[in-house]
Amino acid sequence: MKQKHFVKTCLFSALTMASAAAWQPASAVVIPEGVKLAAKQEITLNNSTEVTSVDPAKMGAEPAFNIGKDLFDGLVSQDDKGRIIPAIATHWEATDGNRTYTFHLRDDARWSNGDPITADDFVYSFRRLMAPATASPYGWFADIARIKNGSKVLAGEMAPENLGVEAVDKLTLRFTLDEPIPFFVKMLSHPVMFPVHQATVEKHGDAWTRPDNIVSNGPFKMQQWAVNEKMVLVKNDHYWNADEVVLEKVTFLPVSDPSVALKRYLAGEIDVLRKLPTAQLKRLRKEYPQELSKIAPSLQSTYYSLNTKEGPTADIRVRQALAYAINRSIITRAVTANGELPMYGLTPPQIDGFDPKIPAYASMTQQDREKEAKRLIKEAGYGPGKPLELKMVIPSYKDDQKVALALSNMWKSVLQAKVSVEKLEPKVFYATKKGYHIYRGGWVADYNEASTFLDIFSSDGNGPSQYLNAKYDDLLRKAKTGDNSSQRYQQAEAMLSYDFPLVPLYRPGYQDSLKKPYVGGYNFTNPEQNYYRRDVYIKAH
Amino acid sequence: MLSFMTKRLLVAVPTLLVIALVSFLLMHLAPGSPFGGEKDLPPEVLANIEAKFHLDKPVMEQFVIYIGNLLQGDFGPSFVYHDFTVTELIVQAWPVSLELGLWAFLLAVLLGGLIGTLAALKQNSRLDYILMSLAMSGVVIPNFVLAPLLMLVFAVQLGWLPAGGWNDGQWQNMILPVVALALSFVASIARIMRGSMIEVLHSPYIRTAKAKGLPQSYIVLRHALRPALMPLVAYLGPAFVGIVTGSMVIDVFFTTGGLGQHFVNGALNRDYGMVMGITMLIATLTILFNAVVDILYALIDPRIRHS
Amino acid sequence: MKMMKHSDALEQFAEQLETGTEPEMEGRSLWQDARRRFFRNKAAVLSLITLTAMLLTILLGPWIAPFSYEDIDWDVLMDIETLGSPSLASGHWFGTDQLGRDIFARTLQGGQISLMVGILGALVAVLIGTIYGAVSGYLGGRTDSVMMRVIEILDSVPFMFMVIMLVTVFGRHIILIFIAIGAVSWLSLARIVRGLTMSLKHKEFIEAAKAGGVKTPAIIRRHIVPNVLGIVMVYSSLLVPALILFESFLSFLGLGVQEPQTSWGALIAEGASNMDVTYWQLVYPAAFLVITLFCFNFIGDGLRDALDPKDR
Repeated sequence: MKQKHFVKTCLFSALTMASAAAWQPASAVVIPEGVKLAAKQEITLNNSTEVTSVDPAKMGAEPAFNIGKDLFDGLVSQDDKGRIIPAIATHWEATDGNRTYTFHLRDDARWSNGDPITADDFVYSFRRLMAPATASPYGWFADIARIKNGSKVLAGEMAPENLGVEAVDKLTLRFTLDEPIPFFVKMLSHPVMFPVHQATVEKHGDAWTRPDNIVSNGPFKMQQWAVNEKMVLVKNDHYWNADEVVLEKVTFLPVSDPSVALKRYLAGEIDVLRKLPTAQLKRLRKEYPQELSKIAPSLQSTYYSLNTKEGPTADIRVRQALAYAINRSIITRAVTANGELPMYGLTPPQIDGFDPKIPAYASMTQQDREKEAKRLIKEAGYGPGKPLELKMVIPSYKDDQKVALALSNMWKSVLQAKVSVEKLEPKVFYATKKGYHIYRGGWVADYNEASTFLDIFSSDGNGPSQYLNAKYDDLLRKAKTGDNSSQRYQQAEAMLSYDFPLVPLYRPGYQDSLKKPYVGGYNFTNPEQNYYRRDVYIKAH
Repeated sequence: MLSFMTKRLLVAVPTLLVIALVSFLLMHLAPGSPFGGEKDLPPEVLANIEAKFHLDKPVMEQFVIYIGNLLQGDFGPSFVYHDFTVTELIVQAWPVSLELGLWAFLLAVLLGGLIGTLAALKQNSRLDYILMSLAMSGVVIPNFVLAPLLMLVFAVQLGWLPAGGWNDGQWQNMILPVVALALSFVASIARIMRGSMIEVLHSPYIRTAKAKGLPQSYIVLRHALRPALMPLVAYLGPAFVGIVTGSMVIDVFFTTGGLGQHFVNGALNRDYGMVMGITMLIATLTILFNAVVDILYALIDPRIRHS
Repeated sequence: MKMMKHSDALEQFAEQLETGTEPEMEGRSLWQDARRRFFRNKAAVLSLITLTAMLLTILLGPWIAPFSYEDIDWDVLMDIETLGSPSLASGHWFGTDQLGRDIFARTLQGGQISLMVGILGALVAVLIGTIYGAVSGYLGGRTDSVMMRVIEILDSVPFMFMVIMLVTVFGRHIILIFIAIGAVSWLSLARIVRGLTMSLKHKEFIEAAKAGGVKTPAIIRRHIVPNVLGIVMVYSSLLVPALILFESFLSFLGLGVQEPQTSWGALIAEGASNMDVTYWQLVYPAAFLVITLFCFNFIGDGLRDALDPKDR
C-alpha cells in the first residue's frame, strides 16, 4: 500500500452540515429479508500492516485508523455514503458563524467497563491529544480544525487547559474555534478525535492499550493482540448500539504482501481482501466472479513531480514534453490494471465544490501528443547528439517500481530520453527532496476540497518540484477564504497543466476486491474508504 | 574451567559494548527518519516527538542514555509501535521464534544426521549421490520460494494445513514454517555428518569391531554415532542461533509474529529501538553459544583446555 | 545464517589436514595427484563443464537474445498471462515478466550480477582471510592472540543484521554489496589459514628460507600462501554459492540491485509471488540459479576430495 498521506475527513459542505443535526441514526445493520444468519458471527480481515498504536492520540496511519473505528466511537460517525451520522452525540448546533459548536451527548453511552461516557471524557481526550507530552503524530489534524488555542498548546506555549473545549454539563460539550470552520463536525468522525478513558490512561500510562488494560467505547473491544500476527476484537456489550451489532468477533491480520494475503484468502483464512496482486487480477476475475466486489473511487491522485529549478526539467518545454509523451491508458490498463483512470490534471473531478476543466492536451490523440512532445524536445535542443538524461527517484514499493519503469521506457521510446530510476527505501525516499529531476508523488485527500490537492504545489507545500510561483500562491490564498473559489481553483489548475511542475498520471476508479459470498453488509461505497464492521454480518453457509 | 569462563565473560562485555556503539551509530547515520512520511510533519509536532525519544540530544548523549537503560534491562521504547516497549515486543516474539527454531533445529538435525549417516555408509554409491543432492536442494532453493510453494500446495490446493498465523503455537500452524526453516539447514548438517562418519568408520576401533563380525547397524549405533556427532557440536552452536533468529523470511510469509519480522520492519522503518534491541539480543546469544560450544569441546577434548 | 554453513565443514576438513597425515607440501606432485583425482570425479567434471557452458551463455547470450533486458514489449503488456508466456514465435523464449520485459535477457543479465556478486565477494573474503590468517599464524605470539581476539569479537557480531544495516545506511550500490558481503565472510577462512600456517611454519623449507635471510613478507608471499592455496580454493568454491544465495536474500528484502538491472535472486523473488499464474517468471531464473549452485557445490566437494589424502 502506498504510504500516501492518509487523512480522511471532511466532505466539506455547509448545507449537509445543517441537515445533519436532524439526520436519524443509520448505523444499524440492514439485513435483507430472507437472509439467514450464521451461528458463528466471526470475520477475519487483512489490515495490510501492523498498526503502530490503537491509542487514538497516537495513531498515525490508515491501518490504525481502520481498527480505531471499530474499537472507539466519536461524537459523530459516517454512514456508507460518507454522510455524517450521530454517534455519542445525538444532536449538535453551530453558533457564532461556525465558531462555536455545542454537542449533546446520549445518556446511555458507556465505556466497555460500564462507566458512563461524559463530556469530561472528551475534554480530557482533546487536551491530551494536543499536549506536547503526548507527542501525537496526528496532533496537527486537530489543529486544522482550528480549536481555540490549539496551535499554541501544540507548540507548548500554552497549557492544555486553555484549549477551546469545555464541558457545559455532564452531557453537553462545547468547542470554541479560532476561525469559522464549516466542516468542523465532519472532522470529528476521524478516529484521532475519539475519546479515551481517563482513569485507565492515568492508571496504566503508555501500557493502557494492552488487551488486559484497555477500556474503549466502540462496537468492539480488544481481546488479544499478538504483534505482527493478529489482533482479535470481540463485541463490546456496553456499546450504546450493541443491540444492532451482529458480529461477535473480528480478527485483523497484518499481512503486507498482497500475494501472501491472497493465498490466505484462498485457503479460507481471510474473508475479505481489498488489495489484490496485479498479476493475479485476470485469473481471479475469471475464476472467482461471484466473490468479486467493487470498491468505489476514492479521492486520490497519482503524479510525478518535476524539478522546476535544476537540470533539464528547469526548461518548461522539457516538462511539457515529458507530460505529453506518456500514454496514460497503457499505464492504467496494462500496468496498474485495476480500474484506474487517466489524469491530465492534479485534482480528481469528483471533488466537492469545484469541477476541474479538462486541459487542452487531454483531448488530443495520443499520436498528436507524442508528435508535439517530440517537437518540444527538439526545440529545447535535445536530439541524437545530445540525448535528454534524467534522474528519477521512487520509493521501493513494487507498484511504484512498475509504473516508474513503464514511464522511463515510454520516455525512452518517444523522446530517446535516458531516465535512470533509483529506488530508495520509503523512509529514505521521504527524506530526499533534492538531487533528482523526477519524483514519485501521490496524494490522498485530507478533506474533500480542492485545496487539499492544489496546496501541494504552493510555496508552503515544500515539495521537490520547487514550483514557488507567487501568482499561484495568491490564487490559492484567496480561493481558500471562500472568495470566488471555484474560478480561482480553475485558474490554479490551468497554471499547473501549462507549467507542469508535475506529470499527472491517474486516479483510482472502481477497483476489484474479493469478498467471500457469506459476508453481508460490508459495502465499499464510502468515498473516504471509511468502512465500519458494526454493519457487517455473516450469512449462513 | 572457572578462569576460562571468567575470561570469556570479560571479553564479552566490551565486545557487546562495541557492537552496541557501532550499530547505534550506523542506525543514526542512516538517512531517513522513523517519522518521515509523504508530507513532512509540522515542526512543532516533530519537535514534540523527537523530544519524547531523546532525538533532540547529541548522538553520544543518546547512546549513554541507551546504555544506561540497557544496564537496567530496559531496551527502551519502540519508535514505531507506540503502545509497547522493545522489551515487551521481544518478550512477546521470542517464545515464537524459540519454539519455531527448536522444532526446526530438531528436524534439521534428525534429517541431516540420518541422511549424512546413510550417505557415509554407502560412500560414493548412487544412494550417496542421491541423498546428498536431495539435501543440497534444500539449500539451493531459497526459502522465499519454498515458503510460498508450501503454502500453495498444502494450504491452498490440498487444504491440509493453515497458510499462516501462529495461534499460540498450535501444531497445525507450526508444520509449514518449521519445514521451510529446517530444510535449508539439513544439507550442511548432512554434509558434516557424512564427513565425520566416514572418518570414524575408517578408524581402527571400528575396523576391529567389524573384524569381530558385529552387525553393521549395531556398530553404527553403538560405536560410531557418538564420536561422529562431535564435529556437529561446533556447527550447532552458531546454527542454533541462526535457526532461532534467522526466520526473517519465514516470519514474513507465515505471519508468525517472530523476531525476524520485527527486525525487518525495524530496519526498514528506522525503528532504532527495535533494531538495537534485536541486534543486542542476537549478539548476546551468539557469544553465549560460542562459549557453550567451547566449554563442551573442552569437556570432550582435554587437549584444548591446555592450549 | 547461511554463510556459515560450508565453512564449518571446511574447518573440520582443515583440522583433518592438520592432525591427519600431512600432505606432501612439495607442490608439484601434490597438485598433479590432486588434479588426477579431481578429473576422476565424474560429478565434479560434469559440473565444471556445465558451469563453463553457463558462464559462456551468460556472457555471450545477450548478443543472440532478440530483446534487451530493460525494454518493455508493449505488445504483450496487455496480457502477460498469455502473450507473455514462453514462445519461440514471439521471440520471448523464456516469456516476459509482469512489465513485458524478456525473461531470457533478464536471466542472463541477472546471472552476470549474481555471479559477479558471488565471485567478487568471495575474492574479497579470500584476500582478507588468507592474508589475515597467514600473518597471524606466521607471526604467532602476542600479535597472533590479539588478531584472534579480534576475530572472536567479529564472530559474535550478528552479521546478517549488520549487512542489512549497512545496505540501508549507505544505499544499495552494487559495489558496496560485494564489499559488505565479502568483508563479513572471511572470518572462518582466516582461522583455517592460520591453523595451516602454524603447522607449516616449522617445516624445513620455511626454516631454510628464514635462515637464508628472506624477509617475513616475502616468506608469507612465496612460501606460506602457495601452500595454503588448495584449501583456499575449496573454500571459495563453496563460498561463491553461499554469497549468491545471500544476495538473493537481500533482493528478497528489496535491498538488492537497482532496476532495470536485476539478479537471479530479484527475479526469483518476483517470480515466486505469482508462480501459480506465470510460472515461467520463477522457473527459468530458478533453474539457472539451482544449476549454478549445484555445480559450485560439486566442484567444491570434488576439490576437497581431491586434496584430502585420506580419501584415496
